[in-house]
Amino acid sequence: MNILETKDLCKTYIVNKRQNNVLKNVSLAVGEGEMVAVMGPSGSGKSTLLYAVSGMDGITAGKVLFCGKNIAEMSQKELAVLRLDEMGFIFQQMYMLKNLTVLDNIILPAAQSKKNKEPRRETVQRCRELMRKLGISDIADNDINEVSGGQLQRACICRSMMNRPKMIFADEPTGALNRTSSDEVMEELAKLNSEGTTIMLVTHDVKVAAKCTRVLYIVDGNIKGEYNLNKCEGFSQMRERERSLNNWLLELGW
Amino acid sequence: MYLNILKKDLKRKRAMNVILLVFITLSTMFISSSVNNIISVTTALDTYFETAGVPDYFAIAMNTYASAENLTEVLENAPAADEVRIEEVLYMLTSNHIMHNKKLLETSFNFYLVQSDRDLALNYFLEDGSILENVPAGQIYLSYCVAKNEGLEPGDKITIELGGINREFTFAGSFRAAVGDAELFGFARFVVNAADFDELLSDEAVISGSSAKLCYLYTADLDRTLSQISDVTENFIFACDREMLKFSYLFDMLVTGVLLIVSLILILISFVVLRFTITFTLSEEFREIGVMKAIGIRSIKIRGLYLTKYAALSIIGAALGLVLSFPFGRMLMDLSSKSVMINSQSTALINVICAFLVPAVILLFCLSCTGKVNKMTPIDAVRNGQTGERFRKKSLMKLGRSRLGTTAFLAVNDIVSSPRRYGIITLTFFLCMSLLIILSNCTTSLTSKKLLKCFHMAECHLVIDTGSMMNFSSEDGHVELKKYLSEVEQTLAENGMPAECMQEFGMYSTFMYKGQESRVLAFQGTGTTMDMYEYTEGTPPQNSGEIALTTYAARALQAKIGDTVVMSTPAGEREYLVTALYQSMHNSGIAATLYSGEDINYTQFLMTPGMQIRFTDNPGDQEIRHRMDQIRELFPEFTDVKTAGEWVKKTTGVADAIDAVKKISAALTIILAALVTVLMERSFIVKEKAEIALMKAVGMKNSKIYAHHTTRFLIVVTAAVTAAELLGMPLTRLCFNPVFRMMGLEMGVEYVQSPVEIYILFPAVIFAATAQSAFFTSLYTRKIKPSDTANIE
Repeated sequence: MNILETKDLCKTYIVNKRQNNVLKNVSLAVGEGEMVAVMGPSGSGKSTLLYAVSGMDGITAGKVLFCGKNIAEMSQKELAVLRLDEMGFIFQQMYMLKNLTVLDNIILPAAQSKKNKEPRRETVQRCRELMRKLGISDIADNDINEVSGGQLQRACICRSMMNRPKMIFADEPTGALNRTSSDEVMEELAKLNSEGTTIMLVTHDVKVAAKCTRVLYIVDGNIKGEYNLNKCEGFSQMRERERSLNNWLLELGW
Repeated sequence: MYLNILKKDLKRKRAMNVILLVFITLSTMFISSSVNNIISVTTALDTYFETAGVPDYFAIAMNTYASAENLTEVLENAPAADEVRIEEVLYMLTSNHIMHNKKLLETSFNFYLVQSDRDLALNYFLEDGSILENVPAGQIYLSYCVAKNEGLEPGDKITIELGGINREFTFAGSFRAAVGDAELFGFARFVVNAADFDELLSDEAVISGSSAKLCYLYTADLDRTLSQISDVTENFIFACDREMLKFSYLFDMLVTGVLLIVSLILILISFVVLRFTITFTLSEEFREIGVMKAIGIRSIKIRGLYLTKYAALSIIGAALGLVLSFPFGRMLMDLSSKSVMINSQSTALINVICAFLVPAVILLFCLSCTGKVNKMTPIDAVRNGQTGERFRKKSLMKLGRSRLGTTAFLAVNDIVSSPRRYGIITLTFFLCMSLLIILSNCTTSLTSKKLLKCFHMAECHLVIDTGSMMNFSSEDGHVELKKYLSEVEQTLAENGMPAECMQEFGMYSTFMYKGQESRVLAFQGTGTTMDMYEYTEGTPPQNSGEIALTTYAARALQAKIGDTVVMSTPAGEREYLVTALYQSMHNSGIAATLYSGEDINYTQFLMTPGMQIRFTDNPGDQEIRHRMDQIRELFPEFTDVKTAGEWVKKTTGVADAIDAVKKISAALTIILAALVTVLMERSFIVKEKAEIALMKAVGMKNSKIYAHHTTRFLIVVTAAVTAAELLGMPLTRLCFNPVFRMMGLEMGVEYVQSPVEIYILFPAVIFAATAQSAFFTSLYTRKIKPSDTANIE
């Protein structure tokens, strides 16, 4: 069953009276439990696609169905509730509120959610558990300026998980991290996916994309091709997955 | 390259640059107009006296007195007098009626002065600032205070009934006469056409009874002049020197003092806000500064770039502010220049100088702020400051442990995390609110009967102008007055109004002690007991020959309790033992109170506040109003019946003017609160764009973000209002005690508060202005999209 579907999705920006068609009739489907990577050259519309399908940005034409509901027809208020309760977001820059501790930043979506009826103490407990799982329980009470980029990105993953979303959208989640941190973060995302959370991420990194189940290649606002990778079974397969993905990308002009 | 960077910066950071420009414009407007006003009002009275031609000595002389014939000759021939100017007038007691709408015109003294336009000795200023030169036939001009109190409008009819003559005039306008047109005591002065004046004087009875002269003496040696004209001074029914004339404007100057306070607060707010905006906008530049440093540009060059930008902005802002400062300054000044002509036009240069100074100050601020550039490292650019290099520990509160809702928590946490930023806003609101509280306390106090004490009067319910009080200025006036007051008491008692009636009479006398001399205004109460007054030290005079002096009079004479001072009276010199000290506003605080039982010759007694009535059965306010009507019916000859509070208001005369300043300040406060909120909130939105986008991305609704932003300002306003309410009274004392001290009240005044204004009205106004401004500005966050998280620099 598809959790996300787009039909003839178009997104156009008008800059200095010039029309810039960033997405051109994009149609795609993401099944429940999938982990999809979107790749493509810079300026091809990867991030725009991610923001359009997640309801963070409006669309010009077409349909975006999330759990069967067309989010293009939703009001800003409905979209906010949808993002809060059903979706999680991870950004390349580890954006967090400067005036809050790491833990407070993570529990913020839960504190905001009307769906979440649990007492705040329980929310905090759940957050600590989540942080422990991601190996950052020791930075809970730190300010965001007191932790490393990798830790911060893992905190962002925790935040995206707090309201038990159906789907996580990640825009270059490892873009600002070194290789070790990048691997750690991807491991966590893969773990989440294996637990049933659908993930859609944008990346330039073949190693990151190789951890996904499917890769979409986008050029000039069109999906030029898609590459199916099976569930990653272990480290030994990784080299092979990366090589085959790389070859496919090279065929497409990567 | 500089120009290109500058152009790009102005365009790209339009919002912050516009905010900065608006603040610079406002600051220039406030500073220029306020400094101009301060200079104008502090020199106002001297300038006014100079332009009006106020003499060193002024006297009203009756033409009917024995030595009147050679009065002019004696004055003009006094060797010490440099110049003498004379105006012929009709000196009309209020029993000769001058009426408007069949109602007698009110005056502080019991006489009117009518004069012709033929021999105007001083410059009398019309409302447009021009000088009154001639009056068309059938028309009449009135001194400003009387016209204002009567609410006269040009075209109103004024009737003069004098002897057998009954003449109707058309009110043409009011004029400001520097002599005798003050709030504290003002003569009712009228100027008519020369032919009309002659017609009024055509009656022989009028000539013999009412013809008088206003004498203006200009001299460098007043004492010598007075001794040279001593033969004719018996003609003077009223005389005073320039200092006394100045003193009569004391309350008028209180309004200018208030204006001074308003101006100082505006200047303070301007600098506080200006400095905040500059540091705030500069902190926005840290990343760029870091990048420039990273590519090797020297600190001095970077500072030069920002200085150029701020110089350009401040020059444009200062020019706009200069233009706006003229109408704004005039608006404030119009509130004060009622009795005193204040010439603010001539000081336009001050506005220009201030407008030049503002950019200089801004550049100094900028120079000190950009000093941080030297300390900054390229790492600020690389890591965008978000990962710690530039930020100190922020999160003081914990959402996990807080019982507050998320919105309230975020708002409170923002404030405690950035205390300096919100402290500045709190200070601005605190200053605005304090200004209103100070003005409210002043207005309420100036209309409170508690101020009676400051005139050294006994507590009472009513103060009445009986229209006949000056009839007691006779040798046995004290005895006659006692009888009269008993009769009134009896009539009141017979009509169910048990009361004590009392009356103060005052005269100027020279007091001497061990070679020291001082002109003291000595009062004696009739119907009072000495324990009805308030003293600061000693025991009340209990016998004839005992006296209470004001602390200022005692200081002038260098006398203290237990000393014996000498008072010069028409009957010769009398000795008095000083038994007590007190404070009073009379005669700039140089006054004395004689024992009420002492037999004194009342011939020289010149002034009285009126008959005071104290009901002994403690009636309520409504009953007092009812009794006032009853008294008016019982004594139709009483020209004016006022409550003690109304009398204080009328005597000080400036409560309405200060009330007007208060209202303007309230309007100004609303505008300031709204502007500061809008501009600050707009700045915060620019600075917090990333966080707002993030909050939206994680699913926070727009309404929550509006509430978060609005709540921050409401918390700040609550803190400011609470602080202002707590400190309101000490600040009122700080601001007004020096003014009242100048008036003779060394210990200050017992201020009265208006709880409705201070605890309900003003907070509501500031809350409403701030909440609305913050809310409507926060709507701008609607433009920030969740996807902007990806586009943030």
